[in-house]
Order: sequence, then C-alpha cells, then structure tokens
Amino acid sequence: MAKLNMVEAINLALREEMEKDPRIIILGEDVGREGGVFRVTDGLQQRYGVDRVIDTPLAESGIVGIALGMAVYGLRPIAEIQFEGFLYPCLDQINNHIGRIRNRSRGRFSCPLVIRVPYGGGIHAPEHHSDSPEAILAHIPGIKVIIPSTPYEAKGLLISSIRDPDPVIFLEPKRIYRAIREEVPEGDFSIPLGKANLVQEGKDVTVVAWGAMVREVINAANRLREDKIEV
Amino acid sequence: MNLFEDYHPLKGKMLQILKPEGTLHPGFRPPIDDQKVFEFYQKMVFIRLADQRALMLQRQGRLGTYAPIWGQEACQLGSAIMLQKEDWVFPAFREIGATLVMGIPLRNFMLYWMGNEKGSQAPEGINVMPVSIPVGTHLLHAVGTAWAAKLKGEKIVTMAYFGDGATSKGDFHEAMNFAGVFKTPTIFFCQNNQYAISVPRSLQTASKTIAQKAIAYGFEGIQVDGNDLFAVMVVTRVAVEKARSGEGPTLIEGVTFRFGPHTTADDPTKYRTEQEVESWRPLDPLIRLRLYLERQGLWSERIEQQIVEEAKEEIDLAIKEAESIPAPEIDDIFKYVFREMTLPLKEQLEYLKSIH
Repeated sequence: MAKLNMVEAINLALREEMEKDPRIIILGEDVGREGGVFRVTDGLQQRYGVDRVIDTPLAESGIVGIALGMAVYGLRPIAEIQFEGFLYPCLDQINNHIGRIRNRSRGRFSCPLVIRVPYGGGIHAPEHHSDSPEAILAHIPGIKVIIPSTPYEAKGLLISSIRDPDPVIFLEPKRIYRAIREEVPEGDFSIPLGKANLVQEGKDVTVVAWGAMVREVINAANRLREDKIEV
Repeated sequence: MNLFEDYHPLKGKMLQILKPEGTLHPGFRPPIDDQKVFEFYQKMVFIRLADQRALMLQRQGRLGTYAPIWGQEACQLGSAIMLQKEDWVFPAFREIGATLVMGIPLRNFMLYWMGNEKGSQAPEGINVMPVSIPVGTHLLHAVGTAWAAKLKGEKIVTMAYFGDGATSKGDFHEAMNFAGVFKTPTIFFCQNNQYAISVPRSLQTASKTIAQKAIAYGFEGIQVDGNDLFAVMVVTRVAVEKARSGEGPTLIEGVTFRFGPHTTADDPTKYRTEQEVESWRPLDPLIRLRLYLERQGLWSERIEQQIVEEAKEEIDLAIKEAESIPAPEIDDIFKYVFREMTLPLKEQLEYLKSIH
C-alpha cells in the first residue's frame, strides 16, 4: 500500500471519484493548469480536460454561487477556495442559499456540492492565510463541516463528502498537508460523516481536537503518560 | 435587421414597438397574432388583479409583507412567455408575473407570502427557483445552471430577474463576468423600475444605461421599453435564440416603473413625487395593450368586465386553497435540512415535540 501525504491522498480521492462519476467537476482559482496553489488538484486537468477541471476568474462568491446553480442542475461540483481567508465573501451564498435550498424548496431542489478550503496557520503565510473559521461555519444550518486530521482520513472523508447528497465544506489543515505520511488504500473506501474518531482511551482527561491539532494532542498525551496522566 | 447593432446601448436607443396610444411604430408588426395578443392581455389583467389581491390580503393581516409587481407586468409576461418548459427561471422577489407564466400555481405563490415555505416547492417539471430575497445573489445560480446545461450538452436557457438596485452588487458583476467568459446561455433581465426602495436609479450607477454594462463583459446588452409587451417579447426572443444556439448571454434592460410601494412596509410618498408617478401613468403596460386591442375591435368595456370576473373567480379559488392548507408541522422544520436527518437534528426534533 502506498504511503501518501494529505495532498496526495486528497488528489487520489478526487481522481478516483472523477473517474467513476462524470457529474463531478472541479472549479476554482488556479486549480487547472497550476494544479492548485498547494498542488492538490495536480494533474487532474490533464487527465479530465478543461471542461471538468475549470480555472475560474478570481471571484470567490461567484465560484460557490455558480457551484450551487450547477449542483441544482445535477452536476456534483467541487469548488476550491484558495485560502480560508477568502471564504468570507462566500458566506452570503453558503448561509442564504447553499445551506437552505433543500429546506426552502421543501426538497424540490438540493445542492450536493463540496467546497474544499485549505485552512489554519502554521505555514508562514501572510495575514488572511491562517484563519480557522470552522466555528463560524459549523453554526450554519444545512451544511456539513468536515476536517480530516490524517491522510487516510482525508481520502475517506472526502469520498464521503463528494457522495453526500448535501453541501459539505471540507476544511484541509494546510499545516499537515505534507507533514504526515501514512498508508492510504487505493480504491473504494469511505469514512462516514458525523462520527468522531476515538484515537485513544484514558481515564483522567478528555481532549477533543481536530485538524492539525490532533497530532499535537497525541504528542502531548504521550508526554503526560510519563506523569501518570491518562488522556 | 440586427437588433443588437441597431439598438446598441451606446446609441442611446430603446426599442419600442407599441406607442403609448396603442398604435405601432412604422415598420413594426406585433410578434404574435391578435388572438394571442388578447390572450396575453387577459393574462396581464390576471397578474395585476392577483397582485392587487395580495396587497389587500396583506392589509387584512392574511398575508405577510408583500412586494407588488404593479406596472411591471409586460416586462415579466413578455419575457417569460418566450421560454420553453425545460428552461429555468431565477426570480427575485417581485416576480408574480414570470412565475405564474412558468406554471407556478397562484396558490403556491400566495402560500409563500403567507409564510408557508411549502409555497416555494415548485411542482415537478417546473423549473422555477424559490424567491431570492438577498438582492442579486441568485444571478450566480442562473449562470451556474446554464453552464451545467452547456457542459452536459443540453440546450436550455436560464433567465434571471432582478432590478436596477441589483446591478450595484458584487454578485451582479461576478455573474456577468462568468457568463461572458464561459458564454453561458443566460439572460439577465433587469427590470429597471427606477427605484431600489427609495434610492433612485441615478444614485445606483453613473452609467447612462444599465444595458451598456454588458459591453464591459463582452456580450450584448439592449434597452427595451419594459412597458411595451411587443418590444419585450421581440428582444427576449432574440436573446433566447442566441442563448440556445450557443452564442452566450444577453443583458436586457426593461425600462419600467413600479407604481406601488417597494413592499407593503414602505411609503413611496417619502421619496418620489405624485407628478413623477403621474408621468408614468400613460405608459401603463395594460392601458397600451388595451388601446391596441380596442383599435383591432377586440376590446370593449363588456369584454373587460368578463375578463375581470373570470380572473377574480380563479384568484378567489387560489386564495381559498392556499388558506385551507394547514400550517407546517414541527417535523417540517427539521426534515428538509438534509436528505437524511442527522442525529443532533433528530434529538432537537424529539425535544421540541416533547415540550410542545
């Protein structure tokens, strides 16, 4: 089994799902020729063409608003917002339309789309490139917010997100994009949405963490074990 | 004749076919036969009466805040009537005309404004999105759907309705820009009704016309007399044909006037004069069409009375139906959030039921 980092795992998930489902298209800034600023979509435009991996104008609200229009018509768009700091113009679309269209139309229309967003600090990026907006997003009804903490989880959760019948915001902890390498199976496997991963059991302290912090917490828990504290 | 060249926005021309006194400009014919003109007049009367009834229901406390169409009937009927069943409409919040033309039952329309979201559930096969209240945000959806159809090789057209105020929004720019770059089969129909609540058109943009904004995005824009049913139909037909044949988007500016308030929550005497309103009265789209029909011998007081009575009966029935639909149940709050209810939602639903 190949050992992959998170960027490679996400790329693999995208490639495999696009192979299976012709309704899937990717759209975003620099996702095509460039393969994304983090290279997450590397090689996908060469493989699937400019009609399925689309370099868009620089307009975040436009990207997600258009993705809604596509999803309603039966495509399965995966929109990339380049950095979480540029997600805020999309909140109007996410809050007022994407999260509500199923409810507002009483089920007549639905919006199965994924918005992928690299998020969080730790990569020496300038300001507006290091936010953690998950708390804001998690309070918006009608959308699911997913954050993987390992390459394996990234692949399995992204596949579930793509196949989900409702909108998903998939936040990718950019600090660990390339920091962890682990075995990630090829082919069909998915991790159900809405269930937490129990990393370890202890009797003294409970820590809830997600994204890049999971690795930090595991390291901390290992050190606390020396002090006879079980996390 | 090439409509887009002859009426290029920078030439300062607006297409008008039917003069206010009900005669045609030389060289023009109505786009439809007189029997159809009569039918469409009848539909416009229906729309106006249904709209007036909604206002009345609001005053009686039987319907919530309402945004009346009064004055914009030709813009909406003349454009929506040119679409096919498989085409999609993306309304703003003043679109009683366009939505009824597309086949949304009046009952649903009333139900929505009565506060029941069941009213936004378009019947299967009728491609009308729910009312979009955040101004201009739905233009992007119209572009997305058009683009998706284009990618799938399906020859549909999408039509977005919005007002002059929406053209100031960022989403208008983004939607127009995407549509231009990717040549999506989208029609942007701006009903320039001169006011965005209280703010006049002159304070929305320094552009001489709204139509000319299309030039910057690399596609055609055209200004049309929005109170002239014939002109709206002709312009829309050309835009629809263009979109369907893969030639991309069009911006139509229908120049019109909202005779009523922005919504029932607003007092237009605060921001416009009676003289201004009066100056638009002779341009009323219904009066013009009636004068035309009268000249063709197809209109009389007696016929009008009959049309009105028939319309009122149908409207009464729709309201009766809407008012007989029970209020939504507690389950309805939860069951359309996702396709499968999530565990937290199930827990919240049980809790709410337990205290209700």
